[in-house]
Amino acid sequence: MAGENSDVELMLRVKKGDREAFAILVLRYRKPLINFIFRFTRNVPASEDLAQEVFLKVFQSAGRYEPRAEFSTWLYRIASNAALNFLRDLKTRASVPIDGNSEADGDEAPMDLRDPGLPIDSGLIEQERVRQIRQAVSELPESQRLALILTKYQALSLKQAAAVMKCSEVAVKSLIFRAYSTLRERLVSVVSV
Amino acid sequence: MNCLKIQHELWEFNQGSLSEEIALEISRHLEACRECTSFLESLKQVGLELNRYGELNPSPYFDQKLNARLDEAGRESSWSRLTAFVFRQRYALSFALLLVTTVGVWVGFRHQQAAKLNSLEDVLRVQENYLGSAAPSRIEESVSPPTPSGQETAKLNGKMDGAKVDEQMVPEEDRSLLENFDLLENYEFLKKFDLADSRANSGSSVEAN
Repeated sequence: MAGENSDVELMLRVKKGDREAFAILVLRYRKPLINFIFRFTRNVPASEDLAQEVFLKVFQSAGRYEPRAEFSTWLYRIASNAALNFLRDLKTRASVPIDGNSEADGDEAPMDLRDPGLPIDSGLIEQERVRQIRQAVSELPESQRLALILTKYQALSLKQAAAVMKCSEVAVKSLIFRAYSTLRERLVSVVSV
Repeated sequence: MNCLKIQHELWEFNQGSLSEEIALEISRHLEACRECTSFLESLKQVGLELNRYGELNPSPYFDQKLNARLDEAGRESSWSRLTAFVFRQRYALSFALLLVTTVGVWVGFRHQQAAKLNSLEDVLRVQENYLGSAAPSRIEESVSPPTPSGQETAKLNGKMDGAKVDEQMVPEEDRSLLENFDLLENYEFLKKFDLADSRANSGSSVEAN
């Protein structure tokens, strides 16, 4: 974003300890960030906590921020690391299944309460459809899932996604192709073609 | 391009982010290939299905909680920065502490030595002040036991150096004792001390009388 209130401009003010500039950045990115973490971890309670941790880290690291890279790629880089660490901690503790049934993940009920995108009278068929989509996305390998979420939901370009994932654009394109191919097979019951 | 390469490009083709030239090539291929057309349709369908994923809204207390965490982190940061610095530099700090302690001990020891020397010099100065030139110039001389005078010492040394002791002159009771301790040749020297002692004893007894 360019202009007086661009992300870079705001971050340069945050670098000098400006909390107001940081509040503007939080307002701008809190919803995309929470949803990015939610889609990656499929864990509702952890999404907001992790998003706060990411913002806290951004504020604490503001002194080292250099306006060479886009703020959004820096933010999603920190967020993807936080989300990956969270999932690996879960795997280590093995207290909550990550790739298991969605019912066991505990994300369905809070999602239904909070999600305005889902109509209340959508019915069980619609709920089952959403459950299958979430399940299919969560079962993708981490790199494919990250590439898909960054490009599909966070609307990043291939170049930006490559910067977040620290790989080439060709590699991201390949990951997206594989992710869509896998989803096409797994969602065969809901994809009519 | 073959079908696999075309299918790799279909996501970007669907996004409309390919160059005009490649997009035209893919369009021509799609007109003739049912498999790739079907793949593109399924990609579009998957994309539409993914839109159903839904999204979360931040809780009303998100900003408050974040501000509280920021305040807390600000309070902790100065202390944690110090502890982190100490932890990171622990080896350097340990070495510096050891160095300072060693230098401190050495300086303290030297200072103590210097104080001792000063005090001894003070003693000498006081002795010179009160006793004049008669006072010994070295502290060792002032504290050493009384010895025979210079002439007597030279005489004794002369006797000790070259003179052979006439064993017949040594009384029988002393000879066995001196022989036991291999001191027979020092008889004259030792006898001098005995004489000095006996003279001193007799002198003191005269004075007492």
